[in-house]
Formats: sequence, C-alpha cells, structure tokens
Amino acid sequence: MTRPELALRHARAAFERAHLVAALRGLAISAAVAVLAIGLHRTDDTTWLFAGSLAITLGVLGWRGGAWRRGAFAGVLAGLPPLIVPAIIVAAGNGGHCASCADGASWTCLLACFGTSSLLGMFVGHRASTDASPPRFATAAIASAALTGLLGCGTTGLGGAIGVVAGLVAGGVTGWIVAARTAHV
Amino acid sequence: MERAELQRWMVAAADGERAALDPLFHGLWPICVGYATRLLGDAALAEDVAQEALVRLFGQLARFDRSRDALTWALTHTTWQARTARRRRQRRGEVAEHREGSTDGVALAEERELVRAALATLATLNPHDVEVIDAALSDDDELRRTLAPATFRKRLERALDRLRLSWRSRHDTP
Repeated sequence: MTRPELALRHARAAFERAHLVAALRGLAISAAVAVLAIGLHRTDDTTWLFAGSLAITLGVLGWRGGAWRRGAFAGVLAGLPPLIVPAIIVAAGNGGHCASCADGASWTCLLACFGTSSLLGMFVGHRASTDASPPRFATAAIASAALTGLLGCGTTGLGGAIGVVAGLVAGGVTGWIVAARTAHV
Repeated sequence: MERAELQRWMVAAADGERAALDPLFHGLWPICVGYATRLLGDAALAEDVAQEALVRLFGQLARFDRSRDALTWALTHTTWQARTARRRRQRRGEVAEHREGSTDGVALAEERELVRAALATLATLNPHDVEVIDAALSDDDELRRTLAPATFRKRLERALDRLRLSWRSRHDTP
C-alpha cells in the first residue's frame, strides 16, 4: 500500500467516524425526546412506533450528513412545541394529562397541534429555502418534526396526528413561498 | 486539478457525498505534501504532516463553510500540523541535545576517574620514576639536559614498566 493510499484510508476512516458520532448523537436526541414524551403524555403502542421511527430517522439522517443532518436536527427543534404545547394546554384545561383525548382528539388538542405545527412549519420552510440544499433540508426537517410532534399529538388520536403533519406541511410550504418571494423582491 | 473543482468536491463531501472523498483527497494530497515540504524541508515529515492534516480535515468536513475557499482551508490545516510537527521535532532535538550533554558528562567523569587512578598509581612509584615520567609528559628539558638521551630513554622505559606493573596489580588487569 502506497503512502497516499494509506493516508486516504485514514482520512476516510476519520470521515466515517465523524458521521457515526453524528448518528449516535441523533439516537441520543431521539431517546431524550422519547423520555420527554413519556413524561408528558400517556404511552401506548403508537408512542413506541413513533419513538422507534424517530430514532431510525435521526440516526440515518445524522449518519448521512449535510443538508439531511441539518434538516433533521432543525426538525426536532420544530417538533418540540407540538410535543409540549398540547400537554400544557390540556393540563391547564383538565388539570392533568389529556384524559379526554384518550378515545379521540378534542378540538383543543387538535387546534393546539395544528396551530403550533403550522407556526413552526413556516419557520422550517423559511429556513429550508435559505439552505444550500432546500429539498433535502425540508424533507428531513418535516420528517423529524412530524415524528417528534407525533410523539405528543399522536397520542391524542388520529386528529392530533393529522393536525401536526398537516400543520407542518402547510406551514412549511407557506414559509418557503414567503421566503422565495422575499428573495425575488 | 483546478481550484473551483476542489471547491466543488469539498462542498459535495461536506454534504455527505462519499463519492466526492476520493477525488477530493487525490486533489489535495500533492498540494498539501508540496506545501508541507516547503514549510519543513523534510519530505518524509511533510507526508506525515499532510496525512495528519487531511485526516483532521476529513473528520471536520461537516463544519466546512461553503462560502470559504476549500484550498485555503486545507492549507490552514496543513500549516497547523506543520507547526505542531516542527515543535515536536524541536522538543525531540532538545531532548537529544540534553542526552548528548549527559553523555559528555559521563565521559568526563570517567576521564577524571582514570586520571585519579593514574595519579594514585604514580604515587606508588619512587620519586625518580615519577620525575622521569613527568619530564616526558611535560616536555621538561631540564632533566633531559642533565642526562644522555639514551639514559633518559632507558630510565623512562623502566619507570613506565614499573607504572604498568603497579597499575596491573592495583586494578587486576592483564
């Protein structure tokens, strides 16, 4: 093996090591988000499904790097309010966990999920439009934000889940369009 | 490889494109080795430095700011590694000098010990023998003038024979 080949092997190993560390960071973040969700909401099979999906998503996108990684981690931040806000609203209204949401999403839960997701979705869309690879950033951000939000809103039923996903997509598209128009003016 | 091409490879690699790693490395390697050689004046050390620099750079590719110049970033890494290597070499040089100094000290101590032993052996000889050896070593002409050259030579030989004998008996050497 020549010297450049040996050096290339070491350089490649360093590159992969950095990506592996990013993947592990993604797994750690997903574990922390899952713990937060378990603390705030009731858990059922869907919680574990979403937590597992989030772990896989953050792990893979963290390992993939670039805009995928940036989008995934921005998406987690965007998904935190939909994860937390419904619990706060319901706790304030019902004096505890989302008890009335067990069998179906209440309008309050649904609106809280949709509202926060739309708002955060706009920020994600705006941020994606300024990234070097907007489609990758937006896809990764919407995926991880939806999964993070679903850990909270998903437990409130199908209405909450639709609320968070629809809110993120609608908000994201709006934010993107607004950013694009601002850039053209 | 052109600078713009290097920039493209670096941006792609920073975006996680594995396919960009090989061309990026092969583009940077000769430049970094040449630059390190000019900095250090040692081709072998320059290759070590270039390898260290590129390993660090590849490990930090995700932090690459695409608004910056890729080649400048690579050469900055190489400069830092060259500086580290130079300091390391200087430290090693200092240690080697220190060791060299301590070797001289040992040699000096041994020499002193030998002189001390030789003087102790000389002290066992009679004063006439010491006088002749001293005159031979110091090129003292006074004694030489009082004696015929052949006589001086014979007395010196006898004195040296006795000195050898005394040395052997004192230090148990053949």
